[in-house]
Amino acid sequence: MELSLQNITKKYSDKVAVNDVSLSIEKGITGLLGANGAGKTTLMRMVADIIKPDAGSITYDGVPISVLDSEYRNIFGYLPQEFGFYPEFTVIDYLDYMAALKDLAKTDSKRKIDSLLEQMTLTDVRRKKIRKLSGGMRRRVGIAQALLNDPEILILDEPTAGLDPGERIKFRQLLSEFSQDRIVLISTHIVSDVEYIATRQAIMKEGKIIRDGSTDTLVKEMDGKVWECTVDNKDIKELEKVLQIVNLKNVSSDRTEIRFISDTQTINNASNVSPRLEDLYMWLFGNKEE
Amino acid sequence: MRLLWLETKRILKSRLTVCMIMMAVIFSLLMAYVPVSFYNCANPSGDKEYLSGFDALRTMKEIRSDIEGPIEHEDIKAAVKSYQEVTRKYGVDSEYSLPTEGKVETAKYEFLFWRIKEAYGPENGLSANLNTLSVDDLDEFYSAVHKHLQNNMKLEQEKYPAAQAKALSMYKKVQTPYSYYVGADSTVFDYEELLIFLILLCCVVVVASVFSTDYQTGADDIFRCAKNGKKKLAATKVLSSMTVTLGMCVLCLSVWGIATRLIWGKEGMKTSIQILFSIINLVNLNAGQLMWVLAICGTLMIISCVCLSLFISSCVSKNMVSLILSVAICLAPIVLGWILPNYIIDYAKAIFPSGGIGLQNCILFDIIDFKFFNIGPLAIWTPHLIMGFSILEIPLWIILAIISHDTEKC
Repeated sequence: MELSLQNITKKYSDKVAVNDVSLSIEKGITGLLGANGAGKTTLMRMVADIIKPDAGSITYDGVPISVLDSEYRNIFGYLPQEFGFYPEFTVIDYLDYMAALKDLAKTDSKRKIDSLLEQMTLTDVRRKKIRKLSGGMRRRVGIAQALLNDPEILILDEPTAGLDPGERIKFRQLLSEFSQDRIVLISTHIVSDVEYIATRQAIMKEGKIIRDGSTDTLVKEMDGKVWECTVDNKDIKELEKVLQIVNLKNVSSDRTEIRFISDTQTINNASNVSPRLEDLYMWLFGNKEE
Repeated sequence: MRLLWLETKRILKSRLTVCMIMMAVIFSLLMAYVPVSFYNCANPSGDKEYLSGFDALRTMKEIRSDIEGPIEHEDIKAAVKSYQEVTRKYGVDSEYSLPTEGKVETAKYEFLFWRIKEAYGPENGLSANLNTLSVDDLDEFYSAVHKHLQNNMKLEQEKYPAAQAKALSMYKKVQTPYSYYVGADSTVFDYEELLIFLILLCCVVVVASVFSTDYQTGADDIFRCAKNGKKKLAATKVLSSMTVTLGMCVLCLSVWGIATRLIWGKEGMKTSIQILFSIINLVNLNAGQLMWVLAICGTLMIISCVCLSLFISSCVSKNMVSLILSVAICLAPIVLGWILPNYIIDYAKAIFPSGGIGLQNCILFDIIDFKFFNIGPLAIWTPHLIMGFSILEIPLWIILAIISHDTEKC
């Protein structure tokens, strides 16, 4: 089970959205991290065979996905960033429609829909129109449709957008269980979504994969570079000019604990701490998303 | 089948579709009622005010009850005689100058006056003056009609003997004597054509967003990743749109047809179209059959237009753009009719699926006309040309819509 991207390039007029990307994705969860505009969605849409790359090829177990065609789509689940739906559809209408599109038999689809509605805690709103649901609920409907056919390959683009913290945790648990013997690719710019559940992280910037490996391997790069200390609130503005601060935590009315990235100690009382994936992300992308 | 059912259900559940169906049904009832509201006749009680609507229809049924049925040469003679006597009595040149009393006296035969003027007119195509005809010397009416057709075709298709021959061979199938029954009026068919035009607009509004809405909302991204989300979905969407369109046409035209028959009565439908439009109309149809022909042709042309709209919808990613383009192409033959000379638009309109739907370019006008598209020795009657193109375009637009949906959408 291997989804392989070889030298993928995609251009929109004169902008190169994805630039010569090669990636081999095996079973388990792979996180695709990157700032907005890094090319994650374009890459995902190519993996989903919605758009064709200008150069390079995408293969599943050695066979180009364009050759596999409907066979590939049969084992594929996709949740795009923008979840489009028909306004006249209720939750159950939509899932029924998607089940028919995924060629599920009527009896199987009913059973599967009932189970997913329960997993996604959507049973109570099954007869409600999707347009009347909250953003989080809509997202859960989107996730449910992606899981309808028990896909071997599941691609989720910003799946947690709009979910509350409780829903996020539940979603991560669901994905961890689901990802056994399956390929799951999650694109996000929210590091915590994938930090602990993904077995592998690929970080994209300006259309290229700039880092690729397990979370542990990647954060090793940050060893000795992440510091924490407590400072006076009045000094923070000055410190922000000279340090790359990745986190701030108020400890009292006039003191704040800061977490910053630096090759050297810089501040006397700063202590070196274990790096996290978010530190690497902030180091690579800075405080501002591009 | 399941996907087809779900997609059809989806289209039917849309608020826009429900509104369009309701509007189309209301139009159907309205278009059935309006012609009778214009129907009028002189009041036999001597009142100067004309009778109109159902009163006029009832009165006319009483006046013409003994002339209903086949129109024989003797009826023609009686009509000319009545015309001459009444115009002489009131000292006028034509029936239009008659006072109300005179109109009441000629009401029984009035529907025949123009037909007789046509049949016995001079060779230059003008109509005859009924006062100058000698009742006893009148040629047998249906021989005169045949001569008039020959003469008319020579005038209309002077350089095209194939068209002349085709017209004569078509007319050979027309049954004589013609029949007349009260309860048929040519305006009924004008309103049937107007209704077909309105149904077309309603159907186009419904289907114009079938593909484009998926692109606009991003739903298409999800569908494309499903096993049946490419060609099969496109084919299903086309088929369900055609089903909904066919359903709308059948519903509305049935409502209109039933209402029309209830208003005018069944008998009137047996009237030959030659009595309603021109004595030399080339097809052997009565009013009821013409209604069916127009309904079937209209439905086929609407389906053809809908298929074109689906193709447009599969190409553009905005609902509004799809709707505007679809409506614009449906209206193109009407607009081009205002701009282009008749000798071009009479034939060029056929290439549009809506070539026979419109206010001035409806297929009814072609059916009752004598236009032929001449290519070498071949003469194609324009209704055949219009319908031929419309039917041939249906599979073309369907294939193009499916191919277009299958191509990459950014």
